[in-house]
Amino acid sequence: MSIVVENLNYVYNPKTAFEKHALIDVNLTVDEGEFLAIIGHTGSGKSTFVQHLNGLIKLQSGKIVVDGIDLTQKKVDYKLLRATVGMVFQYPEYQLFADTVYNDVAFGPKNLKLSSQEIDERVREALNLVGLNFDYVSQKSPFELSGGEKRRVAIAGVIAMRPKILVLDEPTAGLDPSGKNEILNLVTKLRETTVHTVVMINHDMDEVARYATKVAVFDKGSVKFVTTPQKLYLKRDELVQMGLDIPTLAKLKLYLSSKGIEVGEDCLTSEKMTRELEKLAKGGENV
Amino acid sequence: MMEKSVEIIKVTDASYEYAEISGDEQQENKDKKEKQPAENDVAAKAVNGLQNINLSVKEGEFVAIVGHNGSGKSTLAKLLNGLLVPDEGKVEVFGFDTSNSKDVFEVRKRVGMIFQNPDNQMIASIVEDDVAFGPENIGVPQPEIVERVNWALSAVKMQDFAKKTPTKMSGGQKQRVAIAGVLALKPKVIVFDESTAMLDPQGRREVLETAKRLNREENITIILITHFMDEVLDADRVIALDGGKIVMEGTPKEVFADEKKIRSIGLELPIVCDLAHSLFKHGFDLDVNVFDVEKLGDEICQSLSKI
Repeated sequence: MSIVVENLNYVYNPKTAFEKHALIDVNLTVDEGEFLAIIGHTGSGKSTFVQHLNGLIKLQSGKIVVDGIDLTQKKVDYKLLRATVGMVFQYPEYQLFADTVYNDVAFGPKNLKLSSQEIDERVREALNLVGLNFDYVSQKSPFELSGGEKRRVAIAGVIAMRPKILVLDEPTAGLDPSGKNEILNLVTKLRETTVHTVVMINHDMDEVARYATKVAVFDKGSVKFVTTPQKLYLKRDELVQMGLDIPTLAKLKLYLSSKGIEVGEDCLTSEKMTRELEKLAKGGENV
Repeated sequence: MMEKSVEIIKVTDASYEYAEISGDEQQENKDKKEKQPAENDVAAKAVNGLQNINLSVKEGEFVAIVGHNGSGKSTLAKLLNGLLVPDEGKVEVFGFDTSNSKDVFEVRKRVGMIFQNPDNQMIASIVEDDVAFGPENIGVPQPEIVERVNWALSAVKMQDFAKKTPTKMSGGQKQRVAIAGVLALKPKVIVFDESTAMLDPQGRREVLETAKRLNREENITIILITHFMDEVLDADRVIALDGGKIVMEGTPKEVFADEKKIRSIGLELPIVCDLAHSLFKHGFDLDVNVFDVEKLGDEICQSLSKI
């Protein structure tokens, strides 16, 4: 198991007038190789939750074990934890600061006190993984790049730390459709190469449907349920009540079902839905 | 049906190029321009300039502007209320030329703007003060300010929050307060510059519904700039920008009918429409110009029953 969370509670400003119970008895496990999408309304506790995963927020009560690192222990190796869990915040391009792309990506590895040869290797590898041409960008200022490119540089800075677990907080917010696809394809590629487990906060149900293997729904600080994207349609009413929605093609599945046409669950992308409907059409011919 | 024939915004051959940082660089760039025009085109794209834009907006219209990052959408938005003035060409708003600095207040009174980040648009600690800020600044008498604030807050359905502080509100609620702040100036046009990009699905719905309602009920002209293709489906007209030029223009149906072109400028079809195209290519006999889940469902039912 990559991440195990048991009975996690978190209170902001405890014992003051501003006390807020942000997380209530959260239980969640993420297996190695999984792509977990976390969805939920603004203020549902998603960000508070993910900030626990690399120790940005200190555990108050409950238990968290991340890749074998037990955060309930008195002495937690936070350095190891943060090397294990790479965190990509919302609008990560706002965190770019160095004069060149190279120095920005190299900042993390430099802090690990690696040799300059190893740093160079990591920077090259990270830029290559995020699909940026090393020779073209490495000596540019990060601020000369487009929005999608800047975001990839920021992600490269996290990748250069070679994390096993990658946590992304709304990585596609504010990008145009091709920028969104770039980032999501990148995450998929990273899953196949260096990163084993991905946790992503995302509001877009169609993106969740396309990429995630598992979905956790947060509401008012607790996990309402955990399911797969393919089974979200079973929870439509609950989700709508929380101000959320189901993927567009899950809606279509439900509508078709109301007309007596049953398509399989694995139908949440255009290609998959086309395949499902072709099956039905061919079945029809045989009859 | 409201008559949509009065032209209120007219953009004629407008071009805009962002200035380079230093004088030296600018000179360098000019040198480059003479030597390598092709490379300079790429540079122009990167800085979101605009080239020879012609555009006419009629009163009461709902116009959506789409385009990839850096295509010039926001630059165009800023031209419409005189935040930027074109280098070449002309922008006229209700007959006022935006390059005429003494008319700029007349322009901004009529064209309000909502930006992306709700937190950057709040200036007061209480909602009603925030909404009153605009009218106070243009010298509206006190009793009328109160009237306008109340009206504006109820128009965005935030009247219950008048005495509350914006810090505790959701992104969608904050954006609605920002819209009320613009409404209090009684604008004729509101430009939404990616105003839903930072919101969760419910916030997006709230803002979009507010825009549609203001268009329908108050006859306010809406110009909606967005990355979400599903937000443009109810627009009267969609304009697609690429490399600082208008490359597509028409009703949502007309624009999304050209799947190839949409993709070539870095955009996508709304998922329902995308599926319809995919089914059509696989031999299903159906109308590809559908944007609505139920309509596509009906098309699929019919298509299957024909087999």
